Amino acid sequence: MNSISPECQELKEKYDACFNKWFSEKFLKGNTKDECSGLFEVYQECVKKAVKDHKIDLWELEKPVLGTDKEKKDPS
Amino acid sequence: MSSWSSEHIFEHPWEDVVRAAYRKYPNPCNPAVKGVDVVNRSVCPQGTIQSHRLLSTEFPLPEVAARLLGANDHAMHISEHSKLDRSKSTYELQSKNLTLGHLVTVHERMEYFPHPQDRSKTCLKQQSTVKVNVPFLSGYLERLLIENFEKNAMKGRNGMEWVMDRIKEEDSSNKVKQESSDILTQLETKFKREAEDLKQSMDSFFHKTQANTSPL
Repeated sequence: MNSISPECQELKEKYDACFNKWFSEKFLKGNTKDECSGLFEVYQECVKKAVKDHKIDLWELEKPVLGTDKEKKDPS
Repeated sequence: MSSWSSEHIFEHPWEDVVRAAYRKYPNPCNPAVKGVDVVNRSVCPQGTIQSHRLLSTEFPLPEVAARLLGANDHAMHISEHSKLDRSKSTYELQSKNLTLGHLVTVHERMEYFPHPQDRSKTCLKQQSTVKVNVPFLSGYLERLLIENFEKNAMKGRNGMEWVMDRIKEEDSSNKVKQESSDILTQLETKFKREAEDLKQSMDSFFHKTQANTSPL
């Protein structure tokens, strides 16, 4: 799967591979210590720069949504 | 505003379904999704993962709607927030379009959880709402978009099944590789031990031979 920016592609692939392996072999079996945070930090910096360069209005960039009053409720 | 909802049961346990959900794209059933990036993710020791992802898709509206909105050539960007809770076995997602947000708002919620009566199965509940802010056309365009939701939902479910099949193949392949590696390691250890025993026997034989043939 492609990243929004070709510059982030390799970083994305390395992080995704780490996360998918950790998620199935560790997290789902009870070991919840994040082992991919180092790879994620580098990848995340690239993505945030790409979002700015593409001028995408990612208004929730720094704010949580689920579990807050911003979370949409079931339509009535 | 118009709404749509759907429920589906996957014949797979929740753990398999969420493994597939995190790596759903790319898959051949959803070719419109062109890019996925993780903007933010936090893992809590209590067993929750909160993620914020940015998805890039081809413009998903039917051509008629796209023309009416003057949006044929735009890629669509979608912001998706999700929370997975391992202790509760829930995976909730909420997404909203970023592109053309002033004209059309498509909001979707999804929730994956184990079937209450059968934990070998997983339930998916989906709800979508659409609001079109175009005078005179909002009713027509909202109906058009709602009709598309069921088609897209089926593509999404088929995509998940495809990804789960791929994961099963990988797991089998990895299991065979691990078993082969274990066997090779055992054989290597056995051969080394036997080679050492043989060497000791040979050394002992030569010492005895030399002792018997040494000059008086």
